[in-house]
Amino acid sequence: MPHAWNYVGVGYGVALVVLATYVTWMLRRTRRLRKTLARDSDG
Amino acid sequence: MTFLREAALVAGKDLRIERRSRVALAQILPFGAIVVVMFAFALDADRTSLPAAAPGLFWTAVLLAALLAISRSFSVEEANGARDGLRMSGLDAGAIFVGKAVAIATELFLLEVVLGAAVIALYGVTVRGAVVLVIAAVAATVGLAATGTVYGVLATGLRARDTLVPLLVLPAVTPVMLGASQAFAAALDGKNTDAWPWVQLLIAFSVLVVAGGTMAFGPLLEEA
Amino acid sequence: MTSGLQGLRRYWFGATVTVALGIAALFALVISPPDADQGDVVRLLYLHVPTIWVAYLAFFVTGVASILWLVPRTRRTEWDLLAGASAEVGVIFTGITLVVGSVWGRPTWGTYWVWDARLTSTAILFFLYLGYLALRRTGATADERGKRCAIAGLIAFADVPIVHLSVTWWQTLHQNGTVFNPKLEVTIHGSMAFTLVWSVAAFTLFYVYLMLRRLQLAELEEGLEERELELAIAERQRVEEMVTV
Repeated sequence: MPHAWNYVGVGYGVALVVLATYVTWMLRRTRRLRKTLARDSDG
Repeated sequence: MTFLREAALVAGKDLRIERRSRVALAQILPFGAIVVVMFAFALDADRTSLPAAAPGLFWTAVLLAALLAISRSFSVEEANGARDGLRMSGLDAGAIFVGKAVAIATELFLLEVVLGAAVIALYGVTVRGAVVLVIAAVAATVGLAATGTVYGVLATGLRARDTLVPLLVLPAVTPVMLGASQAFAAALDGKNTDAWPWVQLLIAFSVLVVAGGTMAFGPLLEEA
Repeated sequence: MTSGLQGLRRYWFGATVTVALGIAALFALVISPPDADQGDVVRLLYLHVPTIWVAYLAFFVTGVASILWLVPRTRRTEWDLLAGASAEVGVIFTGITLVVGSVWGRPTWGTYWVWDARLTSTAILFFLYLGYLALRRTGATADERGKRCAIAGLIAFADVPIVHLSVTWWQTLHQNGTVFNPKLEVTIHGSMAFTLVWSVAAFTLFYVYLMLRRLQLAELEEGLEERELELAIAERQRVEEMVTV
């Protein structure tokens, strides 16, 4: 099949970008909320 | 009071409100009619494509009008705290569900008659298999009304209700849309036997939703 | 606050998941052979199949958590948070499934999309749970949100068996299952079978990791809402005291 690797690349690329963005967002937001809650309970 | 009596009471109340306010007549019906006209513009009205697409277009117009009817059905409850009144009236929750769904279905039937006439006239459709059309329409309408009532109460009281209910209802009624369009297409083509599996789908869906809705309405109506 | 031990366990679990996914990618993209018919395009299936499997699993968990919430004896906020977190993961994986499947379809079927029963019902699945996620954002109290979402989540789950059985019930362009078909006959073998099974397992572990993280985030967000509510109530009380004095 011609250009097969193009398709494979696009498919894997989309999955990787979506999942990496999701995980990053999740970890960042967790860190931010932890900071906010810790701060408020001291303040 | 028996279950059916209570349901009739609720349906009667909603239909009486409609008769006095005439919202469905003056707003929802014209909306449906405009949608039917709009489709002709969008599809660059030619004599061959419109009749072929007529079943799907008809049911899409009905569905869009149904969303308005559902929204209306629940906004009358929210006015003046009627929702609490309904809950505290002691009426069986399942009966309230059936009552409201019947009222919506009744309005939709009348709407379908008018929109159907418009589609026949404006899209150049030849009517065949009228009995199948009616049976399919009844089953489809019950399914639409019941699903709409379930999601209507589910979203009631929420700020975003008007935008949320369409998003929730549309994916859930795809079996109705598919079944009704296909049944209509087969019947209008003169192939009544082809329509039968789709009619079965419509009936099965309606039975399921009515049964499920009757059970789920109790918890949904309870104040959380 | 995460204890040292919990944090360590979480780190090692995350590392394990990363390694498992890495091995899956290695097999999928390098080690396993190209297909006799599809060529290298088949490698997309080592992604497509695991993602829909994770979506099924995620929506199943949402359903179970919804039931546990609805039953008064087992009702806890945690079940509602779990349901929401799992639905979010499910929507993301359903979206990926649709895109990867579509990319796979172009070279093999000649088209990005076809309205057969499998693809249509999967698209519906995506929208059903997208609506569920929208519903989650509007609940006034935790109890109200829990109830509405539980029922919406259970209704939406009705589509999952339809999606899965669509290829046996109807004539579809989409092929029948290579493993989970009605005769339970496995139709692929060798390193391709291994790659597929390993990928499914690796993605399942990934799902567990995502759920642990997402659930933790959901609990923090719930804590934040409670905190804001407490502050608002306290503020209101203070204003009332000032007025009466």
